[in-house]
Amino acid sequence: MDVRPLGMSALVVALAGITGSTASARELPGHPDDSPAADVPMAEHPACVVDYTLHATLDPALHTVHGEGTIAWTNVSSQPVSQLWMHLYLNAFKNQSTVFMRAPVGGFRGTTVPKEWGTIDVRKLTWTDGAAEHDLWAKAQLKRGDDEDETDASVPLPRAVAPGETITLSMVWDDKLPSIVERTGFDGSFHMVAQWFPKIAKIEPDGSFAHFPFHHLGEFYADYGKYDVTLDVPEPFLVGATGVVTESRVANGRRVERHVQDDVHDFAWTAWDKFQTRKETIDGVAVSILYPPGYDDHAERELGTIRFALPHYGARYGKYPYPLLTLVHPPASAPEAGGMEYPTLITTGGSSFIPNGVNLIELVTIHEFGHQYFYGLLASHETQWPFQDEGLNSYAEAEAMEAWKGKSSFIDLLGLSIGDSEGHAERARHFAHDDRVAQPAYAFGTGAAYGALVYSRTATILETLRRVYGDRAMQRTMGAYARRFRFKHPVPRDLIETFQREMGNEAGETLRDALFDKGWVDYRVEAMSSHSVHVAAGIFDRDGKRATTPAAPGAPGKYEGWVLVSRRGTLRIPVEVELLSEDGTRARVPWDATTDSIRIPYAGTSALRAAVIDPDERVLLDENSENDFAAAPGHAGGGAPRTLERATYWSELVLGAIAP
Amino acid sequence: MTPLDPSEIHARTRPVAVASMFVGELAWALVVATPVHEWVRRAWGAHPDGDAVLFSRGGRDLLVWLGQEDAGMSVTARTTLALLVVGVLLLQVPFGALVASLAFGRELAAPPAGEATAPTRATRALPMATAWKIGVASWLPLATLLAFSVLVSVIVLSLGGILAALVESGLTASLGDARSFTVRVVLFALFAAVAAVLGVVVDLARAAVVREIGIAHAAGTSEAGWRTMLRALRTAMATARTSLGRATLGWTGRFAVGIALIAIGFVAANGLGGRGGVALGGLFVIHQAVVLGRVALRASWMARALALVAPVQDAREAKRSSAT
Ligand SMILES: [Zn+2]
Repeated sequence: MDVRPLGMSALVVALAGITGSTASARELPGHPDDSPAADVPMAEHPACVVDYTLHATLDPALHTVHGEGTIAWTNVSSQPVSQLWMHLYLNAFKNQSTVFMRAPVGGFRGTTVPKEWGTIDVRKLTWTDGAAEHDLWAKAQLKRGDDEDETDASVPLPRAVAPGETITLSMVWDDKLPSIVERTGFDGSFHMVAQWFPKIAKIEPDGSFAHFPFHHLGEFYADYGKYDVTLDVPEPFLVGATGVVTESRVANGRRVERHVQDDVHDFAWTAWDKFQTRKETIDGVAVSILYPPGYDDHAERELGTIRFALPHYGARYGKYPYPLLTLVHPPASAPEAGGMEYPTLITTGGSSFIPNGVNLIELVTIHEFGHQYFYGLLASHETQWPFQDEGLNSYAEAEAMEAWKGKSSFIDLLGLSIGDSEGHAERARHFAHDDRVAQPAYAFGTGAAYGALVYSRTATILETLRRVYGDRAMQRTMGAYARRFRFKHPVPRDLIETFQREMGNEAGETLRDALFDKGWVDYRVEAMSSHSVHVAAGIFDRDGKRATTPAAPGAPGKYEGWVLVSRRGTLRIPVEVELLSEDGTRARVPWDATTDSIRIPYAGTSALRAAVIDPDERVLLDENSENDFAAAPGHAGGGAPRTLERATYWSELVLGAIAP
Repeated sequence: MTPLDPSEIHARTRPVAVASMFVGELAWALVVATPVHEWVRRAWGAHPDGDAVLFSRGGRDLLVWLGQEDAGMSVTARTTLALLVVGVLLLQVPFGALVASLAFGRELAAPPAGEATAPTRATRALPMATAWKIGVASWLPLATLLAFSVLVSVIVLSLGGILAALVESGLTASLGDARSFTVRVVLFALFAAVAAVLGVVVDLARAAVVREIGIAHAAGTSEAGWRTMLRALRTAMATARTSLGRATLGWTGRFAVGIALIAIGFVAANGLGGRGGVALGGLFVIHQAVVLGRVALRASWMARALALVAPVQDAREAKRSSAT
């Protein structure tokens, strides 16, 4: 899921022309075979825990879904289980007392109060255990204590299910979809149906269930399995859904499609009688896009993004394993349905024309596609550790955008050049001290802090590691993580250990500190001095005699001095310092930054003119780049003549345009 | 001083007046640029590459600078805006002087007896001091006309913007996103054209105001500014009734050349990027040439406006004096 800082678009207009640059052609990214992590073993399939066979009937006039079906569930833990937990997340939109709706955090996402509330009502839940049929729903508890929330239900079982045992439950339920809110619901005849069926919470190896209510800023976590879902909609409606279509028929004014998919942990679908569609096979994957009438230009740009993204992510993080991918561009009146990810199905968005050069459509599309890995194939606990899907995915998004579009990966328009990574760094910078990055979604105080820290700061931490330790090392590390933990629900420790192993302890420690302990860093040039080399003057007592050495002019063409550089904060990230001499020479000095400060000696043929820390902008985490340089005493810097020239010219244009 | 015959009104005969308008604009623009220049200089001036860092690809330092949470941005923006408004008002004086200079001339001393009289009167430019006096006297009506035309333009353009957006969203389904956006642009451009035509009429009124005040100045009479202004507006309307097409054509041609000049300036700036030194000096020269060219185009347009207004104004004045 993603919301971009749209304020950037305003920036385009405000700054058009302030910078001058031209994009240069970039080499295409590595072919899958060259991936530095290609040797890391990768599971072909996950352990199958759940097997859903569902039948859903949509009434688009009432915006309801009637569902029936079975769940075969296997206790893959080491303990007997005598109670199930089921998520009924559509109830998050039932009233204003749900955990979701009463969350005090504004902003970011899901801020719409639904015009029509949504519910999910279980009519029947039974377990046929041998000859006995148990009614499980009679004893189920929807509410916890006094809490009105009904999104997390406990279902006691009449007997314990042994480790390794599989049980089959039958169920009947009815959904009333809300008006579009938080990626689910209807808008006119457009229906986005997600979080729509009673879903068993993920069981952990110790026999506990990772169950939790639908939190405002939180997302999901579930077991892998098989979904065999038959969708029944009025004939004029086109359907997009998780999984391959294995049967399709039209009869009695109804369109019936059966979608089957192994190795996924959720199922979402959409139906609309106005969808346009395009299909294309990309990198062996059947890609289709469903979009509103007239949005051909958007659709082409989204498909173009997938043409780049499928092979690129395949090379970086292991081949995309599913035979299909569906993109859904919701209608302009339902923007909240956009920018979301489900297995093999993503939603994009954008209502108005966006000029080429502002890569917003591409960025959202690549972000949601990236979730096929950081959510779909890795399936970490999104509510507990949101940085592991949104954060890693935001890094992957910025990496891919730069590999595709170059340094101006977000905006390249009228001379203005903004990189996606730079945008993340700037957004994250202001929240560095507010909260830990690695914490549950519901622990963040505001939606803005959640967005800046989970998405942007994680991306900035990882991009800093890439720039400092090298692209190849980063590809190796992230590639190894994505492959080793495919289908394995990794936890943060898995990520940090991968970095320690592949990139070294120093990088692993930086990552851990930055994620868990609000690690930060700010380099500063504190002071500098240089003088010509000369004999020390003054009174000296040597060999029992006192002698006075007069001050003498230094030797021409020999200078010495120092630059004092400090590091504030807790992160120890190696950095380069550039020393500039009056005669124009520049020398780079590496500093491992393990101490709080360093006095870097200077020797040259002319006086020291200035010093610049991190001249290649590798440490994007650096809190303030405005103190990364200084001019030597008595020296001026470059000043701001470009600003003066442009500002004068623009003022003349404005005065001339308005005056008459 | 004497009002010139329409055939004698040309911007090219008034280089000093055009140049002083340009110098006035440049001088005030330097004042307007001071806050933002100082803001950047304070933040990045000590960097050995100076503000070139703001032009680097990826825009990291640009974002850091704009993202500072201190008051720099808002203080600079407000001050700049205030200076722009003040500048626009102040510049009405040199503008009035320019129009006066275009509209009037000084007759040469009578040719010596016995020499043939030239078919047209030989005139010289007004002394700048006289032109400025008329400019100062014209300030209030010119500033009022300006406020009026800005208000009208804002209303027309806002209406156009809202309507165009509504039409775009209504047409997207049938025409497609790219084509409906084109419709939006075209529709908005139509409203902009309406605003431009209204602007042309206001420019005719500006010409009439300065010419009338100049004539009064020459006669040693004076009248309340707003009455002069209302009369000038009526003159402009009367002129528009007979010659709106010619006036609009005259304005549009010059406007197009002016846009082309801006495009040249943009290409130059874009090609140069963040380079400094001689290249930056070259850019300054190109940019100032663009501005000078635009001032000259404006002078040329006002000369055209004066030529269109003069006969109408004189006829109305003749009617008025015969009526009293
Ligand atoms: Zn996301």
